[in-house]
Amino acid sequence: MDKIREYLPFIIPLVIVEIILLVVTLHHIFTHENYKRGSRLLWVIVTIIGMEFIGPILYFVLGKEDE
Amino acid sequence: MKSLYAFTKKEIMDQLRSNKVLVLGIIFIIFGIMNPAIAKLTPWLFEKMSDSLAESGIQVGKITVDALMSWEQFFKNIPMGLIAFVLLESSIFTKEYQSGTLVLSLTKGLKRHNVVIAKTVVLVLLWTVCFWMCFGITYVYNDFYWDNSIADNLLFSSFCWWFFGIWVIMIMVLSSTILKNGSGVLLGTGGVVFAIYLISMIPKVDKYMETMLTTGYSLTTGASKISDYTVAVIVTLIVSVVFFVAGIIVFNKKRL
Repeated sequence: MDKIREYLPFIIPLVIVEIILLVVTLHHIFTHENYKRGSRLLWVIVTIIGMEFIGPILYFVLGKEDE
Repeated sequence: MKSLYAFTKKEIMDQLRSNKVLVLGIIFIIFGIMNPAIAKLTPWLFEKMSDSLAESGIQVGKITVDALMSWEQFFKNIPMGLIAFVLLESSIFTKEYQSGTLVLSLTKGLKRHNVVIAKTVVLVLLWTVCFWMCFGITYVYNDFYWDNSIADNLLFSSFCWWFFGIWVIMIMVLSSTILKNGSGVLLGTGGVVFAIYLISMIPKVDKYMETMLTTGYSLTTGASKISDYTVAVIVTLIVSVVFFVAGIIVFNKKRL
């Protein structure tokens, strides 16, 4: 338990950032109909499986349609 | 002047709306947190590995972690941040060539050089904010866990890295004005940086090359002095200004 407490200052901000990114990404996926590649289902799966940052970043780099 | 201001504002809004700022900001925040976290985890990692290392005959002694370890991570991770920055921003000019939106603004009386200036200002601003945010997060953590005072010339070595980023941005601006598509810009920027990196491997030349600025970590350990870097800083400054001016000249003649 002490071990975890020692790392809390790292874990809490990382979790907050992760959740913000996840919410923004899912909001973006569900409010857009078309994507550069892939479908809505694919991107939701990628975002949730890779929610430790890599999934949402992949979506914004590869999947998001240019306006 | 007014049109420059308006166009810059439009560029910033574009960046915000396309979520690039969010993604970049989060990447740099993660790096900022991960630098001290990895340093903090190092003894634990070695402890876990010590059994398998002992089998192969390597003895692991006691490892003390200090702020320098975390700063070493900072200087190792910042290149990845810069790569992510270039990847995300390489299309800042080219997407407008492809969609033809620039022609509209230009026919309405926007000066051509203002386009280059506005986009460069936005890139520099974004890089500055991201870089110093990452620096600030690492700094606060290091102060909390260890002691920052053992790292010498911390601000100057970070400034060097920031300045290297500015130089890369200027290459990006110049190649964006010459080339037509985003992947070309990526290749051009990567190619120039790689070429300079190769040239800097020649002994005695490395002091004058821009890549010298990325070796700022040796400043924090006291292995090198600030005076070793003055030439590289001046060279980078001149080259950046030349690239920027060349970018404006090329863009003035470009057919859109």
